[in-house]
Amino acid sequence: MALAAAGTWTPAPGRVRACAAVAVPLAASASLPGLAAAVALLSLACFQAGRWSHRSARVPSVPSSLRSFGRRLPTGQLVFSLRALGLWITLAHLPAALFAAPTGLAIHNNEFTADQTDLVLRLGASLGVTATVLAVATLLSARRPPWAWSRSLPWSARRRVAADAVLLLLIASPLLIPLLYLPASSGLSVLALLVFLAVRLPGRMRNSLRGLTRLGSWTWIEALLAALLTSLQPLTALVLGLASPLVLEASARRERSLKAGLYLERRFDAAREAES
Amino acid sequence: MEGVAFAYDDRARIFSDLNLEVASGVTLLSGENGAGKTTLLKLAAGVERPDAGRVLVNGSDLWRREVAARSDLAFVPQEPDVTPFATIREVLRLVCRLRSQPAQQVDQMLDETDLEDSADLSIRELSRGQRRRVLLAAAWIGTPRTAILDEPTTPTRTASGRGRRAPRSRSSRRPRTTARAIGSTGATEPWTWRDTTGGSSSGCAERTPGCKRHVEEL
Repeated sequence: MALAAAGTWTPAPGRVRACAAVAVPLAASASLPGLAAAVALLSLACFQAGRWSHRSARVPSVPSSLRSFGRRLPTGQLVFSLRALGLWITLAHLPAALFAAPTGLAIHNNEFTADQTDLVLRLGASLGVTATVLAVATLLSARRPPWAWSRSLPWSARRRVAADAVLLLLIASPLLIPLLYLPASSGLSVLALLVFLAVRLPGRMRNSLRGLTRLGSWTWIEALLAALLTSLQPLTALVLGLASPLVLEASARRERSLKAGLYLERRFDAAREAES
Repeated sequence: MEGVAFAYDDRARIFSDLNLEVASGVTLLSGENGAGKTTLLKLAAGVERPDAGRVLVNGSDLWRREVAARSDLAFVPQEPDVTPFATIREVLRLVCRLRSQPAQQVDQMLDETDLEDSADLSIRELSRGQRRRVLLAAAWIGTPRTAILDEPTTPTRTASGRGRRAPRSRSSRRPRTTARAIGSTGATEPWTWRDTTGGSSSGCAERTPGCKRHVEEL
């Protein structure tokens, strides 16, 4: 884990640091699959970094496909968003733990059939994942205001929303490790739910009417309903997963219609009043 | 701009059915306070999306071909709006990356705007003038064909006394820039466009009392 963390801050190209950054939570999971994935990612990072040279700071050449993939990665936006979350990110998985404990107790203290155990596990995992993603999205929308000027830069609304979705997925990724121990259908349904929420919440964060980023109470209700539906009927998750591209486009539409300047005007008006 | 309508909320409609064309060259936008100049520039820069109509930059629709339309566009807003969660160098690096420019341009821009010593500081740690210079540095990355400057006369004096050095030195090396929209205040008309090709037009925002709702060719 220390090696992966060090790799995140090394003065290497962004894609090397991205691999190391993903390896950190996987290594921290202390599970065999997580450690194996972390080792694989660090090996990939080493391969991408190439040989260290004191004489030249030139980055070793990588295949053009990898290079263009690296350029598309929203690493800058991810780092800015992580900084906006600050130390609160250490508490990101607490909501999941709050659901994991009662789930474990329910299974331990009752004699469930296999199907019932599966249902309880699915319910606990769905609610835990949903609560975590909702908590992170709420924090992010409160702590990271709209950045109006950046909308004039050559990137699409879809890309900005997708970067938020990637951030939510990354933060929730350690929660996927316990899913490996669930039956395949349950694990996949929770994964599909997570993907759906990751693309849905960035759109819900953007309140076009008020020019703010804020999650409303209706979003919480909607997300928890999706979690309940997924738990009771895993096929619902299939529908949610398949709808994710459309949901991402809907989120991008909300990003485009955000009145970002409204927030800015209010903020600078307040600053001017304070100065006077 | 074709048939553009825009309102921040239902109570304050700023534009409705606004039609406007800006030719190549330097174009000045002037008008009284509250006439909607800044909002107009934000619409032109793709910061705000019109509720109706479309905005074309060099022939590309700002909201249908987002990346293509913005790739040759730079915007320097009235208020220096940069995320506080990044250093100046990181912001410029992001701009370089989005405009497909080599990362070396970051150091070049930092040098030209006298911001080398502040490169690793957050925007929060900079003065108002320094913040504005950051946006000027970002604007010139990639030599965009269109630059939109809101309140360009705001002083940006450097620590070494080289005030406004960046815009002046860049302008001599910027043959690709064909249009610049510049916002200003204090004129008696609601707002007026003037461009170097001799054409001009005037118009008004709905919130300005006594104004018509469309742009008239003079």
